[in-house]
Amino acid sequence: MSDRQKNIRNFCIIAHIDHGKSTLADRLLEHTGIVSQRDMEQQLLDNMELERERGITIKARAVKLDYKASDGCEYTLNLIDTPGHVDFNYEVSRSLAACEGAVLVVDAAQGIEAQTLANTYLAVEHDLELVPVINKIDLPSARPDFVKNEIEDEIGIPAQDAPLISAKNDINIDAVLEQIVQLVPPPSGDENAPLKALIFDSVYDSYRGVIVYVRLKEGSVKAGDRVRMMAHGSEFDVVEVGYMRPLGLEPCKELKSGEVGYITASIKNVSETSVGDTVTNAHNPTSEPLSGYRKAVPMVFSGIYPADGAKYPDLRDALEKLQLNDASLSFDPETSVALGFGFRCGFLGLLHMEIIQERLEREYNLDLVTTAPSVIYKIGLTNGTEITLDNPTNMPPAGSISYMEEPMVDASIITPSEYVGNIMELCQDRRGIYKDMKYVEGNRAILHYDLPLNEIIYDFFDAIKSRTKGYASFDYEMKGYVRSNLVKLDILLNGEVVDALSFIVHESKSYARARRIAEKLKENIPRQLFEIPIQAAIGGKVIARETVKAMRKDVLAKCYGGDITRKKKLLEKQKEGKKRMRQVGSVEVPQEAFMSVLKLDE
Amino acid sequence: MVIAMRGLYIHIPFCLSKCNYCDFNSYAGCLFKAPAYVNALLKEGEKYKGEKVDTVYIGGGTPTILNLYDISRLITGIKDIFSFDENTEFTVEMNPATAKEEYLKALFSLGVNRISMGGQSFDDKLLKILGRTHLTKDISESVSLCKKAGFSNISMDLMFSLPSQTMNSWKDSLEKAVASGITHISCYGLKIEEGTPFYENGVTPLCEELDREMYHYAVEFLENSGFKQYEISNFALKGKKSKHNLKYWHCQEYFGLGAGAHGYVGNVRSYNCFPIEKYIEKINLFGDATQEETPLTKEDMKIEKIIMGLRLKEGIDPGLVSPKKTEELIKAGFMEMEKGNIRFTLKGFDLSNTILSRLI
Repeated sequence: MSDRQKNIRNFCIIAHIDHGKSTLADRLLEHTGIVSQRDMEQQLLDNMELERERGITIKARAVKLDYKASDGCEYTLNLIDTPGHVDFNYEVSRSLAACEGAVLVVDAAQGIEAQTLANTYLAVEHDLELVPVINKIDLPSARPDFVKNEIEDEIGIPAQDAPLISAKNDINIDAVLEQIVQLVPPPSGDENAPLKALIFDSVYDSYRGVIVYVRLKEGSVKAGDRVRMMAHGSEFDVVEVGYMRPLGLEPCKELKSGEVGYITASIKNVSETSVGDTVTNAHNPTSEPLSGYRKAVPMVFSGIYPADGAKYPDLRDALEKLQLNDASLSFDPETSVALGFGFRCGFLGLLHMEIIQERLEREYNLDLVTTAPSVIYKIGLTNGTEITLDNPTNMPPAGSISYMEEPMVDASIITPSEYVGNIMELCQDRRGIYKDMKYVEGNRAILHYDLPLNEIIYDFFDAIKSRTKGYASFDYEMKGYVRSNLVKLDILLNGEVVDALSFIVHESKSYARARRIAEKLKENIPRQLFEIPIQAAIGGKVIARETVKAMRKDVLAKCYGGDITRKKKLLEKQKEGKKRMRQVGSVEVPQEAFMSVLKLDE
Repeated sequence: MVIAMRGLYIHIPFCLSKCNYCDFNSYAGCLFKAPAYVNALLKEGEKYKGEKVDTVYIGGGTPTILNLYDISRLITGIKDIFSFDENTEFTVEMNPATAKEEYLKALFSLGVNRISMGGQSFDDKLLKILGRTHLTKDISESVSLCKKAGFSNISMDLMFSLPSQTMNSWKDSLEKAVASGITHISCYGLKIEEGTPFYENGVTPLCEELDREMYHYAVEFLENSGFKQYEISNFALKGKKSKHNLKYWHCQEYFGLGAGAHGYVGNVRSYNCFPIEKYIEKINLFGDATQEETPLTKEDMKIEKIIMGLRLKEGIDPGLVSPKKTEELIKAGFMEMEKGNIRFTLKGFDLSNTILSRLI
């Protein structure tokens, strides 16, 4: 460690949801003097509207703070924020890999909760030094001594000196800063070695191109250097390097080992700067890239269509813009008989899918219809070839299929032991194969299951939460493909197959699923001029049926001189309502009907 | 091109009491304002001095709770302002038991030649539920009085789909209405409107099946009794269709006088402000009480021709609607061609809103 490095602290904050992570981050920014209260939009680090609303952090952000500690020395504190969901576990792990320490925020009233533990395990895995902090001590129900003991017993780190703070009411924040300085080790790494920098995030800026957020492990980088992204293979000339400051980017001459900063190099697309990749000097490369890089591969696919067909070009533009910032999003044009022109989009997971949909709707003001999520299946054909399938509509006829394979995941679920039975039941129901279970400290169990991915992309995460009062956490890794007895379930409205509603399901679950979908559609398709049979069929065989009865009466009894304008408005509104429906053969299907089949548990 | 003559609607927003289903622009307990209101109506009418009309309709509210003096000076005043002859259809709405013989005789002698009576039901239990102030016996008596006073063109409103109403009760009302000797019937299905006592008390409508059964029965029964259906809710003996109301359905023009009254003149739809005091005040200050004016575009007029015209049995020019859509609707039995016009079938009337929203 050089003298230069000994005053640097790179850390993140980990917490259970709602335990005050973002509020604490805001206070740290204020107490290091750069951001005045007035400049601060609440919770600066979460700067996407959606993130603020959901109270979760989707994309990692980082910021460099200056702090004069009680020992009289000036310190550079680099706060690296982490996303908070299983879909983004990989991004979380890369953010953690950029730090030496983690502030562990625990709610003084609620104590340790599921995510606290899951995040702690992750931090420990990355050899981070933990700095426990007990927040919300001003709550009447706060019990800091109990929580201190809980931290010591369940996590096994000393907590008697943990600062007792209130981030919300600005109590004792300096103690946190002092603890960071004292407990988090400074970075090491030779600044004269070849450049070795970890990409932990990147954002697209329409003027500068991609801004790459890096943690330098070894070496240095400055404007004019030629750098190479080791996994991707692409090379760029560095235009600018600098630091992320609370109110914007601050260029500097050079970034050196141990520091956190940014690089711009006229990079056109974030796909060239994958999170986890190693940046090195093209003329003097490091011998080994940093370990742990993984290519982001979409695992869940869904059709996204504009509710108004004329908005197709807008949807394409919006997806292109989102992709600039999100290399894990993929999309290809597709057509549906029922929904018209749209895109088959690939996502990391279900939350990622929901976030993209919400951003399209909010930030780009698009009204969308999405189809049921699907995974990628492998299909062996009788002619000996193997194809992959991400859209159930394209499934070849049963006669030409010799076998099908579906992706499996290696799932680990951490739960308080009293819920082990519930979790096992759920995994059983989702066709899980039990691997093992271990009891760990604090009366908790870790269960390992092999689960088919198509069983967890629906609502598995919600199901786990509801069966464990929110205490369990869940993580998974792709495991490969296994042969499986899968069938394609078609939905027919008034005798016609609605392609956008077809999906692939394990044969054993097809009847139950078919019945539920038929019921859901019945609830969500309004009565029309005709009776509408809803059928679910495998091949040509109908296995579930419901009927939407014909409408009996929709008439205005009285319409005289004073009613004409009102009646016209009423009918025009009714007409507008119809515009939002999809004409499927002779049946008008509202958007909600397409969406309702996505949430079968409700 | 012959331009159809305009109609005249005059609104009397006074009632003895508000009925439980009523969300109209009418008020109980303020009859003392009637003289000032009639003055205001006549002052507003001055705007149209000399205009020709061939139908007059005094509606409400309950016009016949105006005293004889006020209604007489209203009618004579109107006759001075507007120009019309003895062929003019001149309707006054009345509620049973609100008019004595001499009152009706006076109306007749002033040129009123059509009475529209709010009978609603020949079932006292239902009349009570509705909050009507009359009894069934008052209805037949009032019809007799009207005839005695000289009226030969009498319409009656009946309501079906009422809370607790049975099919038998409905049949009975229809039979008694026909037997009372009237010449025109309007049958309205109850609609529970927001803000009414029915709505506030959570009264639920009859099931759609029974509602339609009642409606279909009325159409068939009245047809067999000589009352031909000419509009979704209206039935008349030969030659007794309401000329004034036909103007609405034919999208012809009409003047509107009174608080909240609507008018349609020179391709502009407009309506007056209400309630009563506000209207009187504006008229006294400006001689005008227009609240809002909406000029119609060609497209608006076309849409109105479709939605109003298709309420009529005579139907509309098929050129107004998409041939492809009408063809489908004819095939499905919701519409039919008749004498070169396209019109709803009975099944089409039942679902006319849904179908209209596709046609416009």
